[in-house]
Amino acid sequence: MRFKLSKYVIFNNLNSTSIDKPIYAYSTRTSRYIKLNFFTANLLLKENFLNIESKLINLLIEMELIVPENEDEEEHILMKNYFLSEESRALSFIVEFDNSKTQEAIFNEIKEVGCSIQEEANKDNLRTVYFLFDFRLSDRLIFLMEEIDRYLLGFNLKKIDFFVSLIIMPGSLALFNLKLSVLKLRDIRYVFVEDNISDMNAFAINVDNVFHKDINFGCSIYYYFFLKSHYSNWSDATISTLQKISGVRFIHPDFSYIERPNKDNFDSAFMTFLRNNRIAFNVFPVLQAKIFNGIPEDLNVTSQITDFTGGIEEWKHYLQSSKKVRTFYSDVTIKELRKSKCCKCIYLPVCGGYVNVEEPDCPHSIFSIKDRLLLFFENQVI
Amino acid sequence: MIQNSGKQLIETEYYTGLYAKMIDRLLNKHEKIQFCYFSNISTDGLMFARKGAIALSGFYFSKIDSCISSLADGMLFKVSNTVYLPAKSYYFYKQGQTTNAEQLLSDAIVNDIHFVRLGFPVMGFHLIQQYHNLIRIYLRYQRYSEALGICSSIMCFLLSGEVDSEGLLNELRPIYQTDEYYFSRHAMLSQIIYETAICFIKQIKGKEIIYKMMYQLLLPIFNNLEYYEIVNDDDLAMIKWIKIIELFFLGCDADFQAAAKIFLSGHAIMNTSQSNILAFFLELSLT
Repeated sequence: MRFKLSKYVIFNNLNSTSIDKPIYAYSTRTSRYIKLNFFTANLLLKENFLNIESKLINLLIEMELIVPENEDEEEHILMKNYFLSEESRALSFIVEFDNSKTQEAIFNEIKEVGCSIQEEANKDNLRTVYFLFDFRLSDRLIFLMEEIDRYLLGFNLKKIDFFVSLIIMPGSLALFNLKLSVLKLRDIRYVFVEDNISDMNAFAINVDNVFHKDINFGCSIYYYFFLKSHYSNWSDATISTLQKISGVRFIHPDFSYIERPNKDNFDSAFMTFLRNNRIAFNVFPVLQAKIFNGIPEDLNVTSQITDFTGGIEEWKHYLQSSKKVRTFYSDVTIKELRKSKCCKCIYLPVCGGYVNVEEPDCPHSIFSIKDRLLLFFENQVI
Repeated sequence: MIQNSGKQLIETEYYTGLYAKMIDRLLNKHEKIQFCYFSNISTDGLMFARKGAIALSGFYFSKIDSCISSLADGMLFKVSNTVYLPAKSYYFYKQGQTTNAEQLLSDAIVNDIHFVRLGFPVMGFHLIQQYHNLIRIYLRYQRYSEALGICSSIMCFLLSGEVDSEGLLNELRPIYQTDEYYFSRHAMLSQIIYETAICFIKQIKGKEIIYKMMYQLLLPIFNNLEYYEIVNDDDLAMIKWIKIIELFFLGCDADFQAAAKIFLSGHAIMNTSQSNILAFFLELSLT
C-alpha cells in the first residue's frame, strides 16, 4: 500500500530558499495546520515519507495531509459530506419562538412542539433539537427556562443534543445566571446571542459573568454577539471588552456573511486590526462537519464577533446554513456531484459545497481562506 | 475532577509510549505508515459510531475492511487488528448486532494474547479492556451472569494474580507484578467495579435482587482483598471504600452508616462514582 500527498493542502513560503524559515501546511480536509522545517517540508513535497520521523508521519496521516495513493480524494470528500448531510438531515429539529406571542401562547406552543419531538424521539432517530428563542426581556427568559426545564426532563438526554439558543439583551444575563445554575439539565448546550450591542457597559457585565466569574452553569455555553458598527468605529470601551474576552478564549470572527465591494482585502484588514489591538482570534474555517451540526463543538465557551449589521437575522441564517449545504447533497448522485464546480475546489472539505443550488456563487468566506491563513502564518513566524 | 483528568492524561501517555515502543520493535518503516493509516481510519469510524453517525462510521470501516483483509496474516495484520477489531466491534454493538460485536472482541482477545506471549505486558491490559468491553455488552442486554463471571475472573487476577488455569486469562500470568501491572491495576479495577455497580443501580429494580447482584459482584473482591498490595493513595481510598461496603454486607448497619456518612462528607468530590454507589448502599441500609 502506497501513499501520496493530499491535494487539499495549502503551504506558505514554498518558494523560500531560506532553511531557517518554517513552512506551514494547512489541510482543508481537517482544517488543521502543522509547522514543518524546511527539510521535512521538502520530504513531504517529494512524497519521500519513509525518511520522515514516525511520530510526525502519524500526525500527517491524522491531519490527512498524507493519503493512500489509490484514494480518489474527490469521491472521498463527497461521500463523507453526503453521509454527514444525510445523518444530520434526518436528525435535527429546529424550534423557533419569537417575542410577539403571549406567555400562554408560548406555553401551548412548547407543549405542542414537545409532542412532535417526543414522537420523533420515540422513533429513535432524533439526535439534535435546536430551540431558537428570541426574547429580549429577562423575566420572560426565566419563565422560558423553567418551561424548558420542566418539559425536557422527560427525554433521554443521553441520546439527544439540545441546543437552547437565547437572544438576549445586553446585561440581561446577569439577572438570570443564578437561575441557570440551579437547573437540573446538564447535557444542554446554551447559546447566548447578544444582539444590538450599543451599551458596552451592560455588555461588559455579561462578559464578566460568562468568562471571568466562577459560575457553575453545569452546561456548555456558547457565546455569540453582534457588534453593529464597523470595526473602524469601535470605541476604546469596545476594544477593552474584546481584549478581556480574548484573554480567556479565542474570538472567532465571523466572516461568513460579510459582503464588501473590496472583499479580497477586507478580511486581512479586519484581522490586522484585531491583531494590532491584541484581540486574539481564530482564523480557521469551520469544518463542514460542524456546519452540518450548526454549532461548533470543540469549546465549552466560545465567542464570535462580526461587525456586519445584519445582527440576529444572521444568527438565524447561521443555524439554517447547514440546510443550504445539505441541499447540495440531496437527491443527487455522487456521479452528478462530481460534475459540479465544487468538486474541483480545494476548499470543498471546509465549505461543504454550495454552488449549483441556491447560491449563484461561492460564499465570500471561501475566497479569503488562503489570505487569512497566509496572514496568520506570517504572524506566527513573527 | 482536574486531578482525575491529569491522572488520565498521564495514564494515556504511559500506554501510548509503551504501545509506540511495541510498534517500533515489530514493524518496519513502510509498515508503520500503513499502520498509522489503519489506526486513524479505525479511530474515525469509532468516533462517528460513538456519535451515532452509523452510516458515516460504516463508510470509514468499508474503506479499511478491504485493506486489512488483503494483508497476509503477518505482523502488520496483527498489530492493525489491535485497533481495528475493538473499533469495528463497537460499530456493531452500536447497531445492536451483538453476535458480530462479541465475535470481534473474541478475535481481539486472541490477537492480544499473541503480543503478551511476545513479551509486551501492555497488551495484557489491552486484553483486559476487551474483556471489559464484553462486560459492557452483556450488561446492556441484561446478561448479568456472563458479565459477573468475567468481572469475577478479572478482579481476582488484578487483586491477587490468581487465574483460572484453563481460561484465556491464564495468558495474563506473565504480566502479574510487572511495572505495567502496578501502574494499571487500580484504574482497571475501579473502572470495572464502578461501571458495573452503577449499571446495576440504573437497570435493576427491587431491593432483594439488587442486593444479590451487588453481593455477587463484590464477593470476589472481599475474598481477595488481603492479597492486594497498597502502593499509593488511590489504592488506599479504594480499599477504605470497599471495607465500608463490606460492613453493609456483614449486616453491621450502624457501623456502616456511620462510616459511609464520614466517607461521603470527606470524599464526595474526589470520585463521583464511589460516592454515588456508597450513597445508594446507605439509602438501602436506611430503608
